[in-house]
Amino acid sequence: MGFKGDLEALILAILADHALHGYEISKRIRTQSQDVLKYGEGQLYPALHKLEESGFIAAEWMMQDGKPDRKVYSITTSGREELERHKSAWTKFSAGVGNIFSNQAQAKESR
Amino acid sequence: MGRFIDWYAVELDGYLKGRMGDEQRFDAVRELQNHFAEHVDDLVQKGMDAESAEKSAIRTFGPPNIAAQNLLPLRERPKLGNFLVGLACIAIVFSVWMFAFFANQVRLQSWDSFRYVPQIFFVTGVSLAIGFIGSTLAKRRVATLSFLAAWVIGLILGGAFLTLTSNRYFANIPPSEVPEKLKLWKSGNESTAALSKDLAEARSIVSQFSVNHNSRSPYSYEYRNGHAPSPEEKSKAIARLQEIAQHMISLKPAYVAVGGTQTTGYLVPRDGLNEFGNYYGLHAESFRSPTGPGFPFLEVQLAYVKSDDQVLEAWQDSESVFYGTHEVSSMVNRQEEFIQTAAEMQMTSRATVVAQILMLTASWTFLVLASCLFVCWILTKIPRVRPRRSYKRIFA
Repeated sequence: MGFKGDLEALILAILADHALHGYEISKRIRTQSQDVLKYGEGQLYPALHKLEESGFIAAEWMMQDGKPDRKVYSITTSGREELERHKSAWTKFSAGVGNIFSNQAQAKESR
Repeated sequence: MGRFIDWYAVELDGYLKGRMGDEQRFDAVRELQNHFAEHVDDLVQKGMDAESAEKSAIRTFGPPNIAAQNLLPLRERPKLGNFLVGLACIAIVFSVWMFAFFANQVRLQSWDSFRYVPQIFFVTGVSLAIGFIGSTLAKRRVATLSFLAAWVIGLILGGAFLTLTSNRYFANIPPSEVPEKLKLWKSGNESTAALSKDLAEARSIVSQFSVNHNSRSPYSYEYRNGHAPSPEEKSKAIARLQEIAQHMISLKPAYVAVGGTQTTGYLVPRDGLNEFGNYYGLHAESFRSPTGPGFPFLEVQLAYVKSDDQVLEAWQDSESVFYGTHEVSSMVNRQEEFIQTAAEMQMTSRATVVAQILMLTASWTFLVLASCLFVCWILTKIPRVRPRRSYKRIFA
């Protein structure tokens, strides 16, 4: 089921606890959602860049030995506020959908 | 890092080049390289061989042209590009039409305009160079400045070009000779004005008339006579014109309208010049025909009459030697009205010339801008490398 802006919200949620690089973010979305949410890598980076441009996350380059440099993202204060807004919207949305589903279930039982 | 990741990075960089700032592009490619490296490490740890791991990691991103498209900021994506190129194409077609139309209006053959005014090539060259630089650097500020520079250069040089050659009487005249012709024309007008004044004071004008003539090319002859002039007819006409020219008197043109080929002059009395006795002449100086370079065009026209009644007769007689149509109307003793009309026409003609200059300059600069835009778009679309076939070969 689609939910507008969900990838950006998921990124913010993943970054709420740790500063992470792109690959790790995509891996965590996949593992934490138990492979339910699978976003293409092609979608991830534009979303990250958009969030960075909006100031919701900040990025820092880290040097690595024998590997390409890593760009690590961390959530900003405004990013946390944005995350709260997303959470609130999602709670309302999921409650609304849940109510409809439970009403349907109750109607089925009463029949 | 493996060769496939390196290859992908080069391809991706090629697609992003010219569509994204250098620093931004470098960061984007570096970040993806890191992503691939991490992914490959993961897969290798799970037991996959390095080459397969690389290919698998790359597959998650898809072809580099698609990945590049995803990485571009929204405002840089082809949607806007398509719109712009459509706009540019319409603009180019419209500009070319406008340019040709207005060039024709001022009796300039398009090619002659280019041939006589090499600055046009300079303008085109500079515009394309600016477009090339702007699109290669692909920094918005540079591109904007390039377009602005193209506008200014086009406006200045286009304006200079038009100022020189916008008048039809200067078509086919080398630019170096234009100032001299202009001087001649102005002095002709001044002397005519002075003469008009003298004649008015002396009340010695016998007759005034206006002549509408169209003797610019053999086409008008063909139109009137149903066939093009033969060599014999041409020779006969030249001989007749030369004969008449020997008897004519000289008077500078009273007024030569810019918007048409009307020549208006005065008939002035002269005594005892030939066997015709008193006669009256008009000398209308004009320049070579822009449309009929292969056909002789007499620069001087003459009417000789003894009285008003003879004006029409005389012109009807001389008409046979002109390849064109002539309409003569007598305007006896209407000097004040004539001078007034001439002054008004002169003002109109100036306004017309200014309007033509402005319109042609605008269309030319529009053409320069549109070309610049189109070239920029084309250059940003040409990838430095062509990955599609090779991507399919390696990763399909």
